[in-house]
Amino acid sequence: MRFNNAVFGVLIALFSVAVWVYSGTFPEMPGQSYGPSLFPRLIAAGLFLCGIGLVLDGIRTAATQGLVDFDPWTSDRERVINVLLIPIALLCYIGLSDRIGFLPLTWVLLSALLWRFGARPIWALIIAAITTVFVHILFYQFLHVPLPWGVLEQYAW
Amino acid sequence: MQALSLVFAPEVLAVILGSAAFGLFVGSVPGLTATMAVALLVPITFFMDPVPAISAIVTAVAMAIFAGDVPGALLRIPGTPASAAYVDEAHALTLKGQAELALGTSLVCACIGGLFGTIVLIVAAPTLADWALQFSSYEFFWLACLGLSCAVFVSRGSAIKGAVSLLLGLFIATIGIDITAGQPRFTFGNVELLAGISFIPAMIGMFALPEIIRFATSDGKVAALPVQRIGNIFSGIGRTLTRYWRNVLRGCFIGTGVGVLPGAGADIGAWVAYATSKKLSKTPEKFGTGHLEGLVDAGAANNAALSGAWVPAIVFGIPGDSITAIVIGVLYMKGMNPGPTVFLNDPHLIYAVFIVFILANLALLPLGYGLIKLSKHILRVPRQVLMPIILVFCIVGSFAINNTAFGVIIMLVLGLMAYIMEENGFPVAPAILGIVLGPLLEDSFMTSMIKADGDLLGFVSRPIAATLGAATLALWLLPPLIRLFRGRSAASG
Repeated sequence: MRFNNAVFGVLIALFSVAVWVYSGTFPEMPGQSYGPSLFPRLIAAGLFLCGIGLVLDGIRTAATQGLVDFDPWTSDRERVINVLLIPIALLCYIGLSDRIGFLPLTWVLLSALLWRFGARPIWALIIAAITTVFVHILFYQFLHVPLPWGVLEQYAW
Repeated sequence: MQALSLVFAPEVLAVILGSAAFGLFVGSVPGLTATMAVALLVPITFFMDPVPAISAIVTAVAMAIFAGDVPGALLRIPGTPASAAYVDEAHALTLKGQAELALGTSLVCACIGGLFGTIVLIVAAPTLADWALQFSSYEFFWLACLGLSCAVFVSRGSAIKGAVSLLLGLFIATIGIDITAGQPRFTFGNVELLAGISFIPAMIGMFALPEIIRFATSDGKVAALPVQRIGNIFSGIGRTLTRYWRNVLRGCFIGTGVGVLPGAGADIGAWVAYATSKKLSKTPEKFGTGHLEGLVDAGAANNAALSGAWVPAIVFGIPGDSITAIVIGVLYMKGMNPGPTVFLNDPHLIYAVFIVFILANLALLPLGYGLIKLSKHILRVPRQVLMPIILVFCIVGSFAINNTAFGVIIMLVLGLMAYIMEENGFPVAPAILGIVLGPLLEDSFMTSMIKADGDLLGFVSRPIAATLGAATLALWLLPPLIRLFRGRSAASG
């Protein structure tokens, strides 16, 4: 998806104003005119100028670049689903990993992704199983990362 | 001596070999970049000692940048962005039946370029560090400004978009507890945000996730290999090198120079070297039709740039490209502050890095040869299987640093942001530089403010600081002034 620069310009300018105003709530350092808010405000000022620049640039190119241009893939339902599956898989992991555990959850998510991306279902399940166990051994066993066990807690080693 | 024993320990050599194979593989698969190789490697190096950790990164990158030439020559798809400059040239050679010559030239030039850059690094870094020891917070503030400004202007595309990217990176760096006053900023009461945005999940998100999303938006088809057998890649190399020795040297110089500039790495080095080669060539009309000359220049330049980027990184703690930005982030996490004092406190470490650089570039010859021989099989690895597996590594890698799912959230949010940015022509490298350098910039700025008691003249009270300050301002003010002047003279004449 390609947006006209003016869209980004407006968003960035609004964001910079928000940063500027919110920085005002930081406490001042006693006896000094500069405190924790100074640096964020300098950044906000810079972002605001850039935002204005992008708006001007966007207006100049408005004839050739509409507000939003959709890439060809956005009209292909299969590919849109594939793209959306990536953040969905991550959100599932973020929300469920503690309860379900790394091994079962990763196996299910990875199998689903592999299948959607074009692997045959049986192969998707096998490849996902091998990868999950390999990653678990590498990070849990060798690097001592406490990957969550979840439902398998009683079998933890 | 101590450095030698550090590097030639069996574990370190094993790490080097392993990361070399990893780098060659990632670099040669189109859609997986050298930066992504580092992003995926860093969570693992996080658990290693400094020397093996740095060795792993140095080796993987040197291998990946060369490996990117292989699919470039065989499939006309650059394996990494650094090979994009001359991919048409190399492919044209392949179509003429000279795939061996193209690949052999790339390999040998990559090796020479890498070694040249390393020599510059070895010679220049200690001298510069000696000089940089006198720097105070003023100088470091201006140096960081200069470095970040370079990153904005050198990035391809519009300077405004580069500046937005940089400022967003700097903003992300301010999230968490403020270093000078201990005040929580932009945390909105979230306890996990108090420690700030962790650098590793941020980097994995920004460099790996966009590639995975981009793959999902593509049709996933891979072109067929035009060559069935690859013969002796080293035949005719001697003749090429004696004929084009000037180009090799020029590529080395340009690559190292571009690498030293903060924000510009191997890809820009290759573009500049290729363009220069074409401009100065006696036969510019042959470029693009399968002519070796540009290949020699650019092939040497991108590997030279890798080593060059380490000069400002080790000496000043200012990264020369996004890969050294990652390395600096790793060093900070290991409690080592890159900068001139490293040469006093941990000299054996610096020498170990030098040795690894030489070793990695020499190992490029046999390992690269092996890769070319195996390329037929590697290029057939289905990416629809690789990409979901990489996603799992992204999840575990961002989880592993603080052992909370919060890292995965950071990875997801910044990854989506980086994808939208790249799709709309915003470069991502300045943002990662901003995230890494943000704390240094703010710290040196606030320290200087406190020292000068709020008097801005304090920032230019020392000669080196004043020079660096003037250079920074010139970088920002000269381009618009020149444009204005040109516009006027065009209007009047």
